[in-house]
Amino acid sequence: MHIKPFKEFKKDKIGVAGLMLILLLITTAILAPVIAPHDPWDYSAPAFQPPSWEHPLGTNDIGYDIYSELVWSLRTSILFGIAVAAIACTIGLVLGVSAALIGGMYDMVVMRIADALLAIPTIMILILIAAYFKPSTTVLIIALSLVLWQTTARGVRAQTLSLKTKLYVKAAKNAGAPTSYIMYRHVMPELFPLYAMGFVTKARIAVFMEAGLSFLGIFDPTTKSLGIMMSYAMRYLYLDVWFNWLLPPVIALSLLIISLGFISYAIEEIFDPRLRRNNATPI
Amino acid sequence: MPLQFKNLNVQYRVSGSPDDCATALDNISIKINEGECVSVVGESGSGKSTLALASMKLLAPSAVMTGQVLVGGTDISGLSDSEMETIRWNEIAIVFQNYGDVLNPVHRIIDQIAEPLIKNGESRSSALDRSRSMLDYLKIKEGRDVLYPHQISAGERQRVLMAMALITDPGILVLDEPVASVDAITKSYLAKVINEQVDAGKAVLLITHDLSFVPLCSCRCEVLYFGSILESLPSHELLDAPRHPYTRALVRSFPMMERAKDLAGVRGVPPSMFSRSSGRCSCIFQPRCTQSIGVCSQKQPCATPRGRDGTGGVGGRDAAGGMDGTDRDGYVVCHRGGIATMISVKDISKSYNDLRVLSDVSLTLDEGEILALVGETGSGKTTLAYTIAGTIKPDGGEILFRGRRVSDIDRKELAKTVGIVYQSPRDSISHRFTVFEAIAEPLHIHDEFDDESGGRIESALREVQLPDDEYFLQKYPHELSGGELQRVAIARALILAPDLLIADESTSFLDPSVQAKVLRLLLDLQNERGISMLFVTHDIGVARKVSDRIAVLHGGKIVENAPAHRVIASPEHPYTKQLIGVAKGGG
Repeated sequence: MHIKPFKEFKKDKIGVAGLMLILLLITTAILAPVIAPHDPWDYSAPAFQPPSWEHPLGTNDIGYDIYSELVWSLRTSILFGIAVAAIACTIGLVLGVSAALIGGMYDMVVMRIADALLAIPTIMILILIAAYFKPSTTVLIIALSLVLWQTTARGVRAQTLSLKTKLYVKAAKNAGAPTSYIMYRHVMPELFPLYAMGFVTKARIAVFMEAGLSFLGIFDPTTKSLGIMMSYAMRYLYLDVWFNWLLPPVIALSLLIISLGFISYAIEEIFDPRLRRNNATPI
Repeated sequence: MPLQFKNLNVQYRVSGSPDDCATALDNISIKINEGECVSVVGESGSGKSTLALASMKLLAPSAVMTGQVLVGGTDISGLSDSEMETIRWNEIAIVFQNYGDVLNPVHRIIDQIAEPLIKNGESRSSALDRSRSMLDYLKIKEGRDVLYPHQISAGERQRVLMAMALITDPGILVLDEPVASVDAITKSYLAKVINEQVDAGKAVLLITHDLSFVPLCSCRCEVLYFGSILESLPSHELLDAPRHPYTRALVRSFPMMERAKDLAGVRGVPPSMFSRSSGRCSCIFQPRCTQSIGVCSQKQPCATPRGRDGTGGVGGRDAAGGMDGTDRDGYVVCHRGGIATMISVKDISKSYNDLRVLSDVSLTLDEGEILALVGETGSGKTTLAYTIAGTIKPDGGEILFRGRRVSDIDRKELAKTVGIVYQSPRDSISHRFTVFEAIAEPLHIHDEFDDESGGRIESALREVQLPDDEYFLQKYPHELSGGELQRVAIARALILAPDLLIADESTSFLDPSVQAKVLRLLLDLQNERGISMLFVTHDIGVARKVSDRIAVLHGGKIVENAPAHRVIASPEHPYTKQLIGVAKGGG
């Protein structure tokens, strides 16, 4: 059955809500330098100021503007999520497709690595890497990408293998089509749902992972991060600052993860016929 | 008394000016010995009747005849009318085509038959007696002799005409469509009569379009196409082993009792007779030929001896000039030496792991031929078809495509000349493609997609009898029925104008009505385009309806390979017998 994904997505209320939300958050993150009233890396007022017009969420223990910190942390989270998702999915796509097309020893090696990665708990590897190397954000992005590609690779490989046996792919091949044509015209479009799903899921994992790692203190402390904000706010809970210091990063992180969740839910429903409540509209 | 035509040319002047000449016969040489019957076949307008009339010097005044017509050694072309009078009916007699007006309506038939005898000085009563016994001989019922021509049936009139020709006992008999209007029983009797005349030492020129009548009474057959002889062959090979594409097309058009394949006319339109009045420089059959190559439109072909894989005219004798049909096997006038072999498969074998799918399979496919590969599931027929298409590499043996090794041909180049229609149209067309995109795919693959492709795709759709409007072009496969989709698949397979079409179980998913229509379509397209077709099917019933030849595959071997009607009528291998038995509903 042919599906027009964008048309379908538009009909999915949860998906649209998720998309609106993430667009709002992304816009905020992009516009961080404009929106943030103060430099989040600089002292702007006395410590522990309550919320005011000048400082919408007050200031923290060293007099930084919390609202500005929040906006910049959101930027970090989203950048981190997108970067990890893009890299991990691309690795997964390339390895999955090549494993399926090349096969043999290569296929076996790639798939055994993927299996191993599935078995080892990712967070432990990252904690070890971070604790030992004290890595920069870029290194952490790459490290996380390197351990998140395996699910995409497996899915892509399976799908490519099944596509290889499809009669219309054989027909194109028999008509003289080179592999590049088959990849571009027949395989890639079929892999799009997998890629889209993988992207959103991995972005969600990455965002949460970044927050978690920074909360644990295994992240570049000079970076503005929702996790770091929460971690500091926790230390001053006795000062009754939770509603203006702890709650905002928690809400921002939750919204980010929820929006990605909604989108992945919608994508899954569009591409998995078993989950479809109503029939897709033709064309 | 022998009859011989030597380099005979006949042209009809049309409007008086010498340029407006229509060529009716071009350099015809035929020799008919005593006790021999030679038949001449061809489409209407091919010059058959002109030949008959020329033999009697009865051509219309507008005709210009050059060359010689030798009646018993005398060249009649130079004879005066009065000299001809003595030869006509006495030495050479003709049975005219049976139109309503060939007999004189105001004389009784017996009088018309007796007339030449009386003219020759025989007494009236003996002439009438002889005429009556002649009518008896031709199985005309008693009492009919006194009737007038309009009172007897067409079949009887035909025999009266025959009686008129036989009554003077001429040495040469020219029969122009003697069986066109008679029933089958009479036809076989007339064949007996002709054979008796031949045995009596007459030279008989039989002109007919009834191909099944040819082997009954003639030993040699000349195939005439718009004034030229394209093939001269022993009559018994006419129906089974024609060597010229035109002869084959003619045979395919002729309804035969034992042949189940649907009839197909000769593709294209007959040439204009004027087009060749001034020295032609191409093969006359080239525009309608299924296997024409560059040289066919550049020069006239020569006559080459018949036989498989002729040398293609090299060293052949000049345009039938040196051949008068006396060669035992005859000759064929074709640059390619007759029907050419398109694909020849030699001893190929193929195994998947340890499973042997094909073992030492040899096969040929001629240009313009439909070959059905029949066998049960798993017999290796699909593997064989794709090996021929070059998409599966055989383990051993070789495949020649027009003389070149398939393994040496670039895959893309080969793919362009082979179109494939698959079993399931739903699976063979991507669900993401619209009708337009699906048909355009081969064009994209071969970088032929351009501004004109839209028109090309629309005409391809019209060819497969589908709508060509924008609405239809933008439809997706799931919106089409199986039959429509298979037509789209056929359009896709033919968009690059391939020379070979492989139909791999193309109709087995379709219901009988749709299957019939798709089969009809495939056959029409095959005939129109003159392409070769490899029809892979497990259904021998379908195979006998579509194919010229059937090859039966069993356990990776070809167990039977013969003309379709012969495989059906007299299968040799037990497996084929079983297949046919099961197909007939037996055990």
